[in-house]
Amino acid sequence: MTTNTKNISDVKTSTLSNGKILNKEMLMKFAPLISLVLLMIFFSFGTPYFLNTSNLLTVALQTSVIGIMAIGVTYVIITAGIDLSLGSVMAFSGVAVGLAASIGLPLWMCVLAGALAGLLCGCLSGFLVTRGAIPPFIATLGLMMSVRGINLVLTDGRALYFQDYPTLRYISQGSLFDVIPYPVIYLTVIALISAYVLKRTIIGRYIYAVGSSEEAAHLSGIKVDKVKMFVYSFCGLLTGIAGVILTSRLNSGQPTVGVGYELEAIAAVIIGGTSLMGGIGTIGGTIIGAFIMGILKNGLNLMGVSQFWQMVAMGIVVIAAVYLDTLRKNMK
Amino acid sequence: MKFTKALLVLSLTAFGFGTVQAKDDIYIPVVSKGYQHEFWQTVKLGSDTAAEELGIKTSFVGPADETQINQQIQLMEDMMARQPDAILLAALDSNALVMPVEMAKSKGIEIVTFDSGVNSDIPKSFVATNNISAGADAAVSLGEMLGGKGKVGIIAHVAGTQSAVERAKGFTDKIKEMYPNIELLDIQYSDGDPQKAMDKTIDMYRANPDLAAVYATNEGATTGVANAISSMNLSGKVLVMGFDSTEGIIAFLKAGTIQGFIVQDAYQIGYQGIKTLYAVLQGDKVPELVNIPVVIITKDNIDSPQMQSVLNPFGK
Repeated sequence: MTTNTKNISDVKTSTLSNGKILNKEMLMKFAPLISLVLLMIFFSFGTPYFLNTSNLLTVALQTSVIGIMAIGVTYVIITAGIDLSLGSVMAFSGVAVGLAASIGLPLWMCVLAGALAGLLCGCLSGFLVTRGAIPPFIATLGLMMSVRGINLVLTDGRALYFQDYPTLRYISQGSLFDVIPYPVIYLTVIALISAYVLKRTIIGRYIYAVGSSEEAAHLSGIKVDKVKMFVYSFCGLLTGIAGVILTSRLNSGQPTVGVGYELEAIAAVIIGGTSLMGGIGTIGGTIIGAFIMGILKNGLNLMGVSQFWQMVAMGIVVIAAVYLDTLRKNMK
Repeated sequence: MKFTKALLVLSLTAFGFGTVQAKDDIYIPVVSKGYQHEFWQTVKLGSDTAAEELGIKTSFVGPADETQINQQIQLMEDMMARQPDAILLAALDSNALVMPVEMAKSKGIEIVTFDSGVNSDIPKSFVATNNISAGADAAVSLGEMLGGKGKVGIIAHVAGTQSAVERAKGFTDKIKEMYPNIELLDIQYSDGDPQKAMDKTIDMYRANPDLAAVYATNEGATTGVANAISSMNLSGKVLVMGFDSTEGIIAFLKAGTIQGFIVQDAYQIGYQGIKTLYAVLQGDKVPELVNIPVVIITKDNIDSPQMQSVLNPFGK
């Protein structure tokens, strides 16, 4: 009945031939964007403080950290993998920045240390998944726990501060033309690069291929292991970058930060239309998903809704998104 | 599609330029450290009452738990988007929260901190228990109970927060000054989570079977320590000096598991916090530090009317 053909040209013909499918298919494809617009309209009426440039820029700033992580993990999920270690790795990169600072390295080296710390963890995940043949869920779950532990070991549970680095905070707290916060710029640049790689390069094609069918990809000569190594390392690197931005925002390397962030990032990816089964997904969708979550939190904060109800709301949004995803798959 | 998307977002943003909010009522929200502990609930009662008396608007928000520093920063940013006149803040980390405080200053929003402050000159006042002298009071009381000797462990709450740092420091400095024969173990952190505190206390005892007493620096830590001591049937053998009051902690005191605890006047902290901010907005001069006194409750004085009024500000 339903053979999950993820061939792009097939989808195009089916949308053109049957008018009814055209409408539903289009709706499904634009569901994330429509939801985002609806959410923004809702909050514009719900509170007078939502719809103004200052607040929207604040939301963009707040979403950038999760957004960058979500972009990284999109690559992983498209290959039908998963990475649960994001939150711990993010904290680890912050700790790395802090440790580099504590031995007096120049700022750019500390920042590099943070990014490389993330890359290291990503490579480790990739290694465990490919060479170790450990299912991604388990490998990254184990990494999540161990890395969290290592953070606490390295810092004795306490935060690392940056008294001698007054410029660190400008990484996240400065803004272009005094209006657009730098993290929004970072998010935009990273999104554009990641989208380009995914859509226009060979490795991007390979990523989709591996996600659609590892077997078929392997048989057509794609080095599946190398592709997987790439996506996990890429995810780790982006998580490291997100960690550096967060460290700058908190002006401290907090070993306990980021608990649960991986679930938020993955939720953003799913809401954006990427399928956990692999083979489908776009960076644009992920960005929309991340903003849906960011706007949800910001709007509910402005309306005075408690943190606890916000958690309920986010859960509902994730379930709704996955439900839509299932519906869409069953339509093919 | 991409073009329409961009156009849509741009037009929505353009709306924002014209939005103007008219403000007549004074609005002072409270950004606390969370709702985990009864302490914050009592602070809220105090701040709500003060707001009512002054005829101003207030609201009380906090992150989901006391380790969510990023969430508190986001809360500060979102609260500032509501254009308040001032914010009453209890900082989860005295360095990380400097940034939102500076942002508030640039927007003309006054800040007063309570319970835990920030490393900045911007807040006009700091309303709190003098945590250092509270820790010292606890040290004197416990030192006397121990007869000036023995091994004492410390279970603090969140490592980066000012209240934990000061309560521990006040305690350790006083012990070293007055009771040099007391041996202090390394400080352990529980993040204010009773379960973590309980586990750490049990491990502490196993590693130090000659442990004489444990000092806990907040509600969650005290509850955890008391649970640990009671579960190991060591009530009265290993003394417990706690911080903050709940029904559970009072019950432990009466049962002999806890020998004493420091009570902050949480209600007054919230009440004075709002009153001080209101005074700042009126242009009055306010003291840099508003000290809310603590009391030590022990089995001897718990039933006295004065202590009862501190424990139950609204009667039972």
